[in-house]
Amino acid sequence: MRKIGKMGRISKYLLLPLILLISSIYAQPRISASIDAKQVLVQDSFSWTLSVEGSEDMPQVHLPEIKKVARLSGPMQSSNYTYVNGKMSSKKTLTYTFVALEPGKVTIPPVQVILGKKSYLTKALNFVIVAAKGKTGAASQTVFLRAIPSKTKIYIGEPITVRYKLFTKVGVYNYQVSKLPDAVGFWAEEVPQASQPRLVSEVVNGVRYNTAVLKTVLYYPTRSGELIIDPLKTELEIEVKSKQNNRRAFNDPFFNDPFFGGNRKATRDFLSNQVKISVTSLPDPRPANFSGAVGKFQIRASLDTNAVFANDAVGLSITLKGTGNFKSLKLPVPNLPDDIDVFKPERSETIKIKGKTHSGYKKSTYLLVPREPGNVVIDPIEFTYFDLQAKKYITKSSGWIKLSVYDAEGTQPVVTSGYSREEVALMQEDIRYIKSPDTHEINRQSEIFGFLYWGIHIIGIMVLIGGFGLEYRSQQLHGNANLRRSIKAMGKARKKLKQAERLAEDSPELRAILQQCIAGFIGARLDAAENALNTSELIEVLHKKGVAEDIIEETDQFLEGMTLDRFAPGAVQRSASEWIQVTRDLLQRLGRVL
Amino acid sequence: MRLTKRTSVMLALFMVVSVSYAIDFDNLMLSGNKYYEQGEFELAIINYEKVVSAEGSSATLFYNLGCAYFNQKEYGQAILNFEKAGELAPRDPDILHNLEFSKLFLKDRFELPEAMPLVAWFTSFRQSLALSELRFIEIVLFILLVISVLLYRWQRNKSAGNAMLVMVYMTGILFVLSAGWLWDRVLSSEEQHVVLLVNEANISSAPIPGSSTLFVIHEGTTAEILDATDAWYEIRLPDGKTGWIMHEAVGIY
Repeated sequence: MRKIGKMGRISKYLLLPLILLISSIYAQPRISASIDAKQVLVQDSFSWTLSVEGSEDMPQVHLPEIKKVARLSGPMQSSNYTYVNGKMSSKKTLTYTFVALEPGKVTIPPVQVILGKKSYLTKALNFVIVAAKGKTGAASQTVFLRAIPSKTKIYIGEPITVRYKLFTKVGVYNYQVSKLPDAVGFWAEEVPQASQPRLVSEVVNGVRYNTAVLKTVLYYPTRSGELIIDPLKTELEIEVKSKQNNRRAFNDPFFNDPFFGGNRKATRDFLSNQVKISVTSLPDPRPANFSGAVGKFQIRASLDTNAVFANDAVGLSITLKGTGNFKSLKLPVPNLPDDIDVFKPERSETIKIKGKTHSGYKKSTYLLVPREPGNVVIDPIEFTYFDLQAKKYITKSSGWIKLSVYDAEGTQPVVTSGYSREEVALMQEDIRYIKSPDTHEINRQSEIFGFLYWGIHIIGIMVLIGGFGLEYRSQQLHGNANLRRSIKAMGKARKKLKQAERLAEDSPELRAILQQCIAGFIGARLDAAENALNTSELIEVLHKKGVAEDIIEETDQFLEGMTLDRFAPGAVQRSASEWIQVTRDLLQRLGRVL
Repeated sequence: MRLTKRTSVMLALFMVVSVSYAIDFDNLMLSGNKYYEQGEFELAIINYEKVVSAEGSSATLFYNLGCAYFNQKEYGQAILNFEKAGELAPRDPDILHNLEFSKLFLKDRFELPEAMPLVAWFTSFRQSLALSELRFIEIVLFILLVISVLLYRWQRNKSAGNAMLVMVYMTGILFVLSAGWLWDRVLSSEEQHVVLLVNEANISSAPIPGSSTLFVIHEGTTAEILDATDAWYEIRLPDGKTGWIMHEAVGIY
């Protein structure tokens, strides 16, 4: 018997999974959805339950957005196996808790349920939300909870704080917030605060309330759109007035004493309002190396030494300091040359909530082991973030990192020499930015010593030569007035001739001018004062100079004839034009010899 | 009349051509700068190089091109262009800074004895004026000299004449100095240099393919040209080593 019983039990254990398996294969699952109330008060919670019978798979539900209500919690899953009359049945339930927000008719639409590979639809459910009146309404006005966001329009990654503030007219003895509200699309962290909230008196719509901030939560949106932070649920232990009604067992003044519960404590749930936040995505175009940092940051990178032997380790630390959505940030990774071995970085961080955002630093320290001697340059480590004040992307760079790697054998570097002090100072800087060109600044390349250059020099030299030539002549003339006279003699004589030609035939001046012309010429050329000489003196001077006799003779005849003609007209039969001709011929001949 | 008309037409045409070149250069420069600002260094380089290949020349152009190459980590090209910019604007602090800064990234470093302060000062002083500046100074001094000589010669007043003589001597000395400096600069700019543009190159013992390798230099290293054949340069490195390198591997400035 015992043996059989044991066998029976064993077979039972064996059978159970088998039956489960078979039932899951053959049985058609029964799916039903229900809500726990047909009428719900505003601010009250209700639950929607999906139950599945006859299936081993956990149902998967995608709940649509439902108007006038907000999801408070869920899904809560439970499985239930029953074994009745040798038959096994399983029941799985999913429960979501909602809070009613606005009065009105509400329909929960058919919900798609996925079981294994099949999908089913539940039936639609209707219920009514009614405005809270009377008792509940009064209570909600006596005590209420408000969610106050610091901002309602933000960028992705921009932090906001939501303060959950309790307004109360009655005493509150205790409060409990079991969990932070659901906020899909946000990353939340509670701001730590003093354990006992401070009570502050505040007037709302003419009514004095005591207020206390129960909780402050920091939210970082992680996606854009109209996002909703669900109401916060608190459990408050408040003072409620005892109803002076007939239910009281002992209607005795004695028991009306407050000590006996004129006021008594009661535990009530309160919900805050929902918070709607509109989140804008960060502007495009986003820089390539932007990883979602929003706030204000500084990046630093440094080696613990700038000179190291090959195969020795050197630490490279990268520090990101600043304020913003720190927790979700990753430090940039250095881009290292191939001949350096890198070990996994050691990370450390100190991040605290400061004001309305996180502040602190993140640091990772890499251990580098350069294998080859030489100079190593590590690219600047860049970090791009979105600056909320400037509303633009800002890239911070650590600057170039330089490392001299020496040969392990000796102290002298193999190929390279170390950096000088000036160079080390230069390493701290960065390449300077480009210049904007001036208009028409760029010219075609031209010959350095072109036409203009040589032209100016040649002209200059020519001016100098010309100047010197002129100057030489003028100096010669100046220094020797007679020479100048002599040079100018022919010109003067010609002038006189021209003057004579213009005179009338019988002009008495004509002959005097012609005589002066020849006499003046000889005087000037032969260094004698022209007017001081009479004819005989002139002839003598010509003789002294050694002029040919025939020319002297001719000159003598001319001068004599001219004198005769001047003072005894008619003695010499020559017309004025003939005289001019003779003068010209004589002047020419004299010019040749003098 | 006809001739003047033709000349004026030609002049106008010439002006249009030269202005259109200028616009082209300016636009290319501006779009190059725009790409640079956006971090599109490759496109910036293409724009700047277009100006360079059209024989455009300015310190800003070479400087910006050098910056773009630097950002592309082409240190050889960066140094080449900073050197070219430096020849046109030898006192520009940005050009000097970027040239020195780029040189930090070179693999080859030469340990050179430190020059005496006076020598160092003289060397830097010698390089402190660009060729075009020296040429301008020389021309101005020449013109001043010619004018002062002429004035002195034509001066009759004795005391004014003495003053003019001092002026002649001064301009004369300055002119000779500037002409000498210009001549020195011309000679030194004819001494050409190479910058290695490829990652690494062998320096051969002779300008013959397959000749033995003396040593290896790396991108950005500069050297003086001593001699040249159709395909090879004989170069001297800052530390005095000499050898031959193929034309393709280097840029000349």
